[in-house]
Amino acid sequence: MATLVFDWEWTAPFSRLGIAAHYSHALILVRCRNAPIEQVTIPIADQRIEGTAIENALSAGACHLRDRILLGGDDREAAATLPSATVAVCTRDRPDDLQRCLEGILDLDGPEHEVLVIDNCPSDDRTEALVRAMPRVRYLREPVAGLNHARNRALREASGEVVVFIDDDAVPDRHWLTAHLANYIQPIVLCVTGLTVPLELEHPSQEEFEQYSSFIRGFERRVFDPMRDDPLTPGAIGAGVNMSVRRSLVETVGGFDGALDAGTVTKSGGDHEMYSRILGAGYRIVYEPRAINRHRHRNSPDELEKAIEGYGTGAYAAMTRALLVDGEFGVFRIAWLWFRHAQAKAILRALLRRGPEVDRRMIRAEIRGCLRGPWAYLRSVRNIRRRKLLRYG
Amino acid sequence: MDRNSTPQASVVIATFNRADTVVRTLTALARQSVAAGTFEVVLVSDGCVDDTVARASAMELPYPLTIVEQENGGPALARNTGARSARAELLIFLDDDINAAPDFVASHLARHRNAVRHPLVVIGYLPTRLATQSGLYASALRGWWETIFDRMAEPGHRFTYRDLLSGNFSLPAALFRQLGGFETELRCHEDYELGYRLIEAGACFSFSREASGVHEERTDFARSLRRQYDEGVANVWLARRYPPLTRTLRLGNFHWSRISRLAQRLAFTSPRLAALLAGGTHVLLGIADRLRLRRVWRRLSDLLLMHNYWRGVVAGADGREELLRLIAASEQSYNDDHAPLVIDLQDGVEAAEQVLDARRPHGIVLKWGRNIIGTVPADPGREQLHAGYLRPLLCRDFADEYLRAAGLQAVQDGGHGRSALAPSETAPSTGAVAPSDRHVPAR
Repeated sequence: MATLVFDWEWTAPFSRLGIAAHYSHALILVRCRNAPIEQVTIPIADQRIEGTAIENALSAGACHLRDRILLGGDDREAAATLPSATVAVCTRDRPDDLQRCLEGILDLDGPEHEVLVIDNCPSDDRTEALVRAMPRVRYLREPVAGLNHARNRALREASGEVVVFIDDDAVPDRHWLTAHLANYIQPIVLCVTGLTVPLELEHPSQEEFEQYSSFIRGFERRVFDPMRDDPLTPGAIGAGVNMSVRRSLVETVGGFDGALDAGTVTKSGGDHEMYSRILGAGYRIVYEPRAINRHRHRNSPDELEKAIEGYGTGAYAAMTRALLVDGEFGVFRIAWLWFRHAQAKAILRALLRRGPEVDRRMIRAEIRGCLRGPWAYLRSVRNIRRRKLLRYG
Repeated sequence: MDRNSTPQASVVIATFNRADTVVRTLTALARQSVAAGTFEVVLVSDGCVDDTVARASAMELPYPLTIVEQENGGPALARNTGARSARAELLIFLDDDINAAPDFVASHLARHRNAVRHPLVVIGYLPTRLATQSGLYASALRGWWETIFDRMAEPGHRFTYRDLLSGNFSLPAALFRQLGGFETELRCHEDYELGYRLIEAGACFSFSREASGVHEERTDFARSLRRQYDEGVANVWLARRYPPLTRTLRLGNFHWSRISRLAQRLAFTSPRLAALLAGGTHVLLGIADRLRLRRVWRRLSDLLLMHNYWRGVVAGADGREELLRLIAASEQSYNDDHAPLVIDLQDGVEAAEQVLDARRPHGIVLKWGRNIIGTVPADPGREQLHAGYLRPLLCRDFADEYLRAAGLQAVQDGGHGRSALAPSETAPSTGAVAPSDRHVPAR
């Protein structure tokens, strides 16, 4: 059985009939005047869903948020002018996903913007052919493998004041870009992250991914400030799948660390390491749930385990970098707190064989990843040095 | 360009031995979007012994520049001197280390021109650019300034006397003169003091993000500590002069933490032990900074700042007895003519707004028939309320209470049907917000 995924605007009347029979549940992103207020799951009976059923499923917090929006209490300071923008997609060998992503980008509302595709170390020319056939999309090939290399290339080549990143397997909501840009009112804001919801939940492995590795960071806007939030725990801020940065951050805090993230042995962590560095330097990051995009979760069963292991590796690799490069001794405390408050319990449950088998698999993968993290970072740095020696040597 | 016609605004800058910075500030003012004759600049040299005057007078500037020299007497006196030489009806006070944005003068002028309530004080935004600081202090400093402006930018923010920052604000020259300008006895917090008198005079404060200038911040931790000392001295002065303000000052805040109480006691009874402990704390602070242990660093720096604040209080007060006397005096609190005004929202939000603008109360009790929705207490040093507060207050702070009270009433009256918040029936931004009976959030 699959889960039907769709949006519901609370201010519009609703009922949906004749839903395909293989859907047992619906995952609904409830919105109010376009702002997301909650995601609810409800069962589908007789192949239909009524608006009242969705309304009744809303939590008290969501109702409160909705009332505030309707009363105008959630209105924010409006920017006098939006900064100029470049939308950048870093991709590797996924032309089908990329096409869906680019179609969404070309359909965005809001200001004029540049669109860049950075093809990272591709194994064939399919991506190039696709992009060249599309209007007003610039194609760039980045030969050095690694998502962070591609991101840095985007920062170098972009003409916009703000560079808005989206993964190739995600699709932006129409208001996505405007919602990102509206948060750059103060110069102290260097980065904005958005809300990423699943595009579809057709396969059990996609549902599993959403359960164990959801991108959702809540429906309330949040400003991250190093005085309140520890820069070394950037997990709650968001992820690279949906983020934008001020291009000038290259001068203020430096570019992305090429040793980290997908395409290297560290697997992930490049986005979170950047968040740590931004906050560590005293700047701010805004989590803006109105900047919505939809991510197509992988649908092969072992993909989730790989992803979880990768997050562990990336997190520990990023902490290694924070310690060795930025001299952040607070990482030891963070590692300990993570272990004490989350991992220890999961390990104990796994040893006692409590809970479902998949839980045990996930915690094993996570610990495996964490243990690999520090060495992965060192190896990745060595790989970069070697490559430089080869090139200039 | 006619240099003799009266300008619309006078930008007053007081400076002391910072020729390079002043030249940059004057240059930024030369790139304003308004026509050249719209404003003049009055530069007060507060006893400068460097080449400030020579370099400023040698500059080719599109606007009229008046340079006034006085013997060193502190920024408050220098600003008063500048205001006396100003010809325009609007005064804009600008610090000597701020690079005004091109729309700076235009935004100050526009805000005053379009003001609904008078008299108006406009406080401009100052994004910070750090000059030389490093380490955890730098990152703390960046957020510290921004937080102050965040608060002011919130819709419906009720301004306090502490929101008046002398670095970038504008007000009618007549009002400034009527109040007698800055208090020259103070070397610190003279802006707070003026802010208090402005609020007592019924002025409305307003924050403008557009009237901005980049602030070149050069302070360091040692200076922050000295500043705390000066603030301690100034706070005693303010508490003596304005007893109702005492509880809004740190020395009069009854919720001292245990450590603050200890620091206070030590500062009065054994200052040498306190200094010794502070020395030790300073060493630890250096280590925490090296290891970038933010939480530890923040706690230690808070301790040091607190220690210096209490040292200032000791220097300013006539013994611990006086401090306790000042606090006790403030407890016989705000007097009765500040009793809150009762407003019934059943008459509609617009009617309530009219009442607020007509009466300008210090505090209000909001009701819906018999139900109390919320109260805003009278608060010394805070702006009198006006219509601009009501909607943000209802939406942000009392949304639940308001909807519930209004909804209950509708049920009691036999009202039914789909929520009044439902689409197309009510546009909350216009007209009164109608009650809801179905969508009251369950608690």
